Amino acid sequence: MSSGRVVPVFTYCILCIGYSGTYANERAPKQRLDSQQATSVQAGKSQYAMCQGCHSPGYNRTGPMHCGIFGRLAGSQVGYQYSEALKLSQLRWNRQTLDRFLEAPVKAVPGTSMTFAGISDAYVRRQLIDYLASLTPDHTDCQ
Amino acid sequence: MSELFSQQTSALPQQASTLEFQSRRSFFRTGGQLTLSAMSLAMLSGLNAKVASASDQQTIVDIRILNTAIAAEHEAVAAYQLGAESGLLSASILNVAIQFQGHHKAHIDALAKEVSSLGGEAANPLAQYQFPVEKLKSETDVLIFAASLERGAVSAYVGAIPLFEERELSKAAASILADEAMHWAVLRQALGLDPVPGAFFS
Repeated sequence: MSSGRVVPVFTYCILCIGYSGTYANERAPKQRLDSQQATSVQAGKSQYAMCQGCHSPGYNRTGPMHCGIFGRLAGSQVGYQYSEALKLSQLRWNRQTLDRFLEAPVKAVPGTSMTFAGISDAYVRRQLIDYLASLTPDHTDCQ
Repeated sequence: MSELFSQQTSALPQQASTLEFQSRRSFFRTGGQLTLSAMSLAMLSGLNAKVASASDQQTIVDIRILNTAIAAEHEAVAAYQLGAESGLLSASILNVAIQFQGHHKAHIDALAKEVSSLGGEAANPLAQYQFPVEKLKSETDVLIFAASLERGAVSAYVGAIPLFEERELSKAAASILADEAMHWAVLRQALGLDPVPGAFFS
């Protein structure tokens, strides 16, 4: 191979490596976020054990089911008999409302049947909420 | 729960705790009369209405906590019935399941008595319960299912106990919590798991 051809090929390879490195660096934060989210969801699933005295993801028990909870109006799950307090709360479940409710249910909605002191650890609440957010109808825990 | 308390204190010598208990109970029972008196005064004077209603409200909260616990205990009784009738349990595990079901029935009786003593009406069992029947195909499945309910029950009582206004109710609920924790440990042992996998549970 002549030196005249080696230089362009070498330059091309360097450019390719440089580009792939840049691309990888751009993707890394998203992958890292996805990975962190997946870890948090998994941790939230473990934390959910504390809820299973009354709740299950896919069916109503002493407490209502949780599949599809995100975006749902509080007190509206079909087939579950809610307290009047929760039905009248006009809460719609999202990260903020769930966080406030899980921190101190009885304070957030006085009169709720969820007579549970609450979860004071914001990190644990976030993990639980990440798991609850993952409970869409296609989730294995909802089937 | 008064019975539970009696069992717990019968081994103790005649002492302050019994007197303290009677004193608290009588205070609590007469609390309704005091409340009525306060309400009458409030009606006459237009004052102290908040004090009177606070007492009533807390009794209502205590009844609500007890009834949520009763509802969960009814479900546990139904779950053990499902397990017992599944035909999946060996004789030794079946005996354990029936024994634990009896404990949950005793919890209901004790909790319901407390609801009555507070002037409330105890929650009744549902006509039908939803359980993941299709996923229970072996004894191990039943044990895992029962263990998850008992584990959750421990957390439910941990979460309920701080909310009681009446301290004797907290004490009795803690007694039930201890029983549920023992159920969980025994079921884990039967599953070949570490029966006590940690120092703290919330």
